[in-house]
Amino acid sequence: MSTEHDGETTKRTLGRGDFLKLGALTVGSGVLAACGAEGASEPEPAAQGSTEKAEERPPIESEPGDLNILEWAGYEYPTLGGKGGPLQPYVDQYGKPKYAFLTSDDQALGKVRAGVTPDIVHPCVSYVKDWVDLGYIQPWDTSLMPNFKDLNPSLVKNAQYEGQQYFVPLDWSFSAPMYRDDMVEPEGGEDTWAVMYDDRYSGKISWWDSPLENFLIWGYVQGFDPYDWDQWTDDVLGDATSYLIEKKKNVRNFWSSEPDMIADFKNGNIWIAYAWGNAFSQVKSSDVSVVYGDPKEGRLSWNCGLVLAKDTENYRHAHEYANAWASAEMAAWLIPNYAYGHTNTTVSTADIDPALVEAFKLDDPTALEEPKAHIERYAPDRRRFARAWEEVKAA
Amino acid sequence: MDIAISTTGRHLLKALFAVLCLLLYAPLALIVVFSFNDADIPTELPEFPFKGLTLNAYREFIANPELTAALVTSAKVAAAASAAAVVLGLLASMALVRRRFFGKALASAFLLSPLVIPYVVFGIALLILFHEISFPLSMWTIVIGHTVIALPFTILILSPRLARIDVRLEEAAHDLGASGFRTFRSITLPLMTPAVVSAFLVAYVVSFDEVVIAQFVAGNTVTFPIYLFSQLRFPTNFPQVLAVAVVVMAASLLVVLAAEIGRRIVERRLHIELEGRADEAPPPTSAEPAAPQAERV
Amino acid sequence: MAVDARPVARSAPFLRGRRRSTATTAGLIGTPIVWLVVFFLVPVGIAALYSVGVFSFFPGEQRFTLTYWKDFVDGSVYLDVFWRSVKISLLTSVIAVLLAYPLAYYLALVAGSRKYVLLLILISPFFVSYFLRLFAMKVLLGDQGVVNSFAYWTGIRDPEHPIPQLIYSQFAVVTTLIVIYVPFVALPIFAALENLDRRLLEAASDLGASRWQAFRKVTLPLSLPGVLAAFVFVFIPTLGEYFTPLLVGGTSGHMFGNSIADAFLSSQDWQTGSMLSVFLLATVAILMAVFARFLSMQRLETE
Repeated sequence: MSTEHDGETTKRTLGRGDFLKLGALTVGSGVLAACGAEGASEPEPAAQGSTEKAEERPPIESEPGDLNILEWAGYEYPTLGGKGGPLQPYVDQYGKPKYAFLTSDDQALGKVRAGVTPDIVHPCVSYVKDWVDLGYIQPWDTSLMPNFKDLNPSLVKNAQYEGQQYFVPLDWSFSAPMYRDDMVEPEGGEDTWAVMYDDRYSGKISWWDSPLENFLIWGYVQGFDPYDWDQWTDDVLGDATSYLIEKKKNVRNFWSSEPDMIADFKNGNIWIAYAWGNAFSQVKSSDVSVVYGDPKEGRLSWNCGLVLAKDTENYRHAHEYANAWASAEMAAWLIPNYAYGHTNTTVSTADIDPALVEAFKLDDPTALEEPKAHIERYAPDRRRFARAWEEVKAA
Repeated sequence: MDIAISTTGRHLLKALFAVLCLLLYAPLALIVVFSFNDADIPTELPEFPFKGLTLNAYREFIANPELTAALVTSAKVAAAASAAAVVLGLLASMALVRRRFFGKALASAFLLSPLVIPYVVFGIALLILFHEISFPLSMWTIVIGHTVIALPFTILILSPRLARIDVRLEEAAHDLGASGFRTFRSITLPLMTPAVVSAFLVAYVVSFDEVVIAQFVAGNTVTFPIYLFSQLRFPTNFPQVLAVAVVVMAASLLVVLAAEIGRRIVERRLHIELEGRADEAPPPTSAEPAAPQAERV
Repeated sequence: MAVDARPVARSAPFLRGRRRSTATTAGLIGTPIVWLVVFFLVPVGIAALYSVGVFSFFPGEQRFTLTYWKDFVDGSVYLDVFWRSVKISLLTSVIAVLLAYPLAYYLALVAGSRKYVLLLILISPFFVSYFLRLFAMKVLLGDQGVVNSFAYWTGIRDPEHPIPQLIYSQFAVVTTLIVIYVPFVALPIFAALENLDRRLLEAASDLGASRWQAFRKVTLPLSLPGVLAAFVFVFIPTLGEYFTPLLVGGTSGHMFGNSIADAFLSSQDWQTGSMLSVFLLATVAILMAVFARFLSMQRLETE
């Protein structure tokens, strides 16, 4: 599985930049060292690295209980699950959490650096190392989450960093070009990522406002593996930037809020967009004729989940919330409603519309991997891509 | 003939004024209209067609704890920032109007400079400051930022008023043995009341509506404009937002009107009682008459 | 909006005949100044240090360097964004002033006794939340918005092909900014025109001048300080605009304020972000120094 590759990538790219980051955050690295020492001696897949045993922590009643969550739009209660849905038991018992919204993983990192201090964040797995480097998160105590054992073991292992369970993997799905099949005909008749650059549909295209993915897409269209970081010489990056700047004139806007993009699709403002599976199921239900592409270069795939703030005062509340997310009820709601996969393995997809199951391979988490799709991977020099993306946006 | 305008000119200008007001108020009218819209999906920004009348949005917003909390937070922040800005503005005005000191022009320019700083830059600079000294972001960091930007407004409102108060009243108080502070408290401040109220209200409006600086230094705090922005991007309860907007619009208009009327009434009364001249007397075209008076005694 | 601290006739401005305690003066003027220094100058100073790498987000990268500035000046994309912002701001300011002048003229010289009521009507939109007016502009200009709906209804365009440049474009940014700022812009012009001594106009008329000549030779020159103030009060804030281009600017309306914010929030590049901020601030400061000759800030004193 991609775990080995991931680990290899991580170790291989532990270069100057990472060393400096780790060394500089002395407090963070102190904790990391302590956790790392503990974790290294425990080879089980779900390692616990918290510096306190669960029993030594104060009881839940002594916590303030004002859980602050940095989430994707659409994952907040009550939009997620509705009233009476999988989060309702948590809300009934502990109250409704406060949500702040992130528009991308990069932006979430930026927000936290700029002083927003959530108890829980919902990033995607390729960013775990970034969060650890930032010194903001601590590993989860999986013994506090009864539902944790039901989660897919290989995704759980993939979510660890240096043996510590920093990340609870929860939702997964794809990113692909979604388009109106009554208005758009991809070049060459086959689904392709190149439809995002198609001059014929100028003004009806929307890209996601996030640096890395846009460059990955270009790389795949060019025909090389964009996760091979050595390929991204300054020249190559420059070429990509110029190409994107040129094709930008076809783009109506860079979407940053999924509900916005969905609305634009429903209203006919946009015919082609970089989209996650949820957008497809929402738009499809509104009689706009839309197709979730399966590009010949391969879809991108992702696995997102929850991380825990190091300085949280709501330790047990956070675990309760994460447990609610990991539950079979959540999986049973998420899969048919958002057309996303969920890492809880006890849920059967038998009752779900087979067309959806087929389209998103909902019963097969290995569908996230090569060569069927390109699972997200850690990027060592995000700033470089962020700067190039800024150039594209500003041009 | 009226040298300022011809009859056709008059009609043209009237028409232009009407058209422009229409243009300015059209967006506002839209907001009001949409606040009554029966949108079945609150998670979408309203677009045409208009679906039907309902008061749901108004009912719901009162019951929406996040929205009401954001309003309360904004109210608190604005109150604190306005109070601070008025106090600092009073101090500055007293010094600028009643005292002589070296570098007055520079000081006044400096104090008024936040008027022209782009708020993006200021918000970010403040963020950097708090980050460097590890000062946690909270409601108070917003208050600090808003005080800075409100200060020029309070100075610009308080200073002219202070200048129009006859200083001989203050001197009379001193001659009778009152200390500086007592004089200020019993003579100057009451005379300045209308201006103080105006200054407070202006600062309040500036702070309540301010979002750029708040966005950067709020941390986890949610003020009303921040909530609005979040709803614009991630609409979960959008119609309620419109309802609040209409209420806030109406309220601020009422407050401003009341303040204006109140100020004029109080000023008129004070002028007649204490300064013995009517409002309508034209101001002197030069300061010459005042100077000889200064030297005379 | 100059501070008018001219004394009333027959009153002396300063306290005479008592010891003017310099300590009190220092306290009076010092407190607000210290507040501003701490919360205004110092942050800007720290930002300046970030821009030259003396501070950096990752402590390991700290060293004094001018690379950020050098890259910028050497024709980076940020410079292009800056000029684009200047263009948008200039366009907005000129049109706003051109629109506001006749309005202010009408109020000050034509409307007579109802002028203050009408002025209030003109300014009131300014009290509505900036965001809501922004959203309302989106509704006006959007693909399903008022203008386009009208176009569909009259058959000018068909519903699958709305007028594209209305929203998510520079046009949208300029239009929205104008609508937002016009009330604000009218104020200084109104103040200047109101202070105009009508007897000067009458004198011109007595000397045989036509209306147009009177306007050109008397009204316009005397109102110029107000016009310049108005121009400054819209040009400078719009240079650093952030939310309007974000929400209605689309891919071509990206302005300098957006670049600054992005550098801080998405690119984790505080050094570049600070450099851009300091640059904008320097630009504004220079502009203000130039315009200060025409703005009567000196009138804050009571001599």
